[in-house]
Amino acid sequence: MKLGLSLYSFGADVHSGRMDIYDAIRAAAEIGCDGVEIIAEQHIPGWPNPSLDDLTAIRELVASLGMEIFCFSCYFGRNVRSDRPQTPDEMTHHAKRMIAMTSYLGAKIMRPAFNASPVGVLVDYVTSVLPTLEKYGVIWGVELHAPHPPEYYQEALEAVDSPWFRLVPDFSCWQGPNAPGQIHPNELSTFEPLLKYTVHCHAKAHMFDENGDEPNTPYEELLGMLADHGFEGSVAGEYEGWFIKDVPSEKTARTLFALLEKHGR
Amino acid sequence: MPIETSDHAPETNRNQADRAKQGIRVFSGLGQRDLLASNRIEAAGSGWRMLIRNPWYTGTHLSTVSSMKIEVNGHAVPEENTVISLRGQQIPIAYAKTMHELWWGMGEVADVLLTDPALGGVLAEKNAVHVDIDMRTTFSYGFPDDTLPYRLTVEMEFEK
Repeated sequence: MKLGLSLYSFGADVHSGRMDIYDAIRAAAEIGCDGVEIIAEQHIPGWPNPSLDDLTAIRELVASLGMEIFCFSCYFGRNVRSDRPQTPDEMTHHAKRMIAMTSYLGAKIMRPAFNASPVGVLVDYVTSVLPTLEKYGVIWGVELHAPHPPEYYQEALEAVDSPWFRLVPDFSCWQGPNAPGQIHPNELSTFEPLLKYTVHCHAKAHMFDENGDEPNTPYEELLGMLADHGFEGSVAGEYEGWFIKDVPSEKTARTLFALLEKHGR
Repeated sequence: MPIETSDHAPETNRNQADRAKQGIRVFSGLGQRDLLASNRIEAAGSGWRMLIRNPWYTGTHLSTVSSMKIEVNGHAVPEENTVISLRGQQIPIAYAKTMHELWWGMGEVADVLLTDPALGGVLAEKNAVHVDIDMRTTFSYGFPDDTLPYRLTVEMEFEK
């Protein structure tokens, strides 16, 4: 499997203005990543209407450092306007833009954050853009994140039944009870039926102990299950502790990537 | 500038209501930590300006700013005298909620212009400034009305 970092992990420095996307990409390369995940609304200059020149510069910088963009993450929010929710046509238009942009960046996976409640609305939404996904060769990776139970998207994955609609599990689903925000830890066995749909993972981390382990997240077991399954996709470390405490992000990013390498190589 | 964040992870919560409260605390705490890009108020044109950083954890549409209230030494700056400026584009704060086309980048610093003439008699070398911002989330995280509050009182310098 390929290992890398989500640039989200550099959030403390990006949020405070100490680092930009180009700094974060270079830092990830120096740490030894195979690839990175980029979050549109956090990292792309000029968002939501970036210049092709900026997108080209990002794509070329990542490639020049011997990495790939594992996944392009974006948000499909309905509450953009204060007077009304987004219409279905606007949502579809936005999805198509993001698919094309994912392709332009050279990423194979797009992770849209979308409130799929009830989950049936996701089936209709994805189905409406399946031809676009196929045309651009982009996989819609739906993110499974706590507090949703591991089986939350199973029905949608079965209903859409397409190689262009797959799963991005976030390790938060299997974090222990002391993880921030955790309300219902799940048995590791619940990961097993999801493996066949999994194309990319978010290796969530909030803190590290003195050995560099994430005390609330079973990295060894989860990465072991991926390896045993013959997983050939990507895993991006996603350090989120910067929400709680402002620490230099390169240090925590390095610790997280070392943890991934320890159990994932 | 005070940093309103804990040194350790929040305690475990096991129900949704507690989780929402914890989420508000964590998200708002992050925003408040980085909210002020400077601890100074400066004279600007016929008024004054302060620098406020987008407190949300990503960039967002300016239309998500439901309200922004500034108080200086207990004096509330009227809404009509509060203007937010992004990349030189000045928007009266009451109209910010209509500006979904205007993007406030992650960590981007906005000029907040205060044109209230009364501030001339209120400002001292050191000032207690209270910032009160409500921002909507475009994606639902389970917060009431999909809105997050950012409330911060800090001491800010003003050079007369």
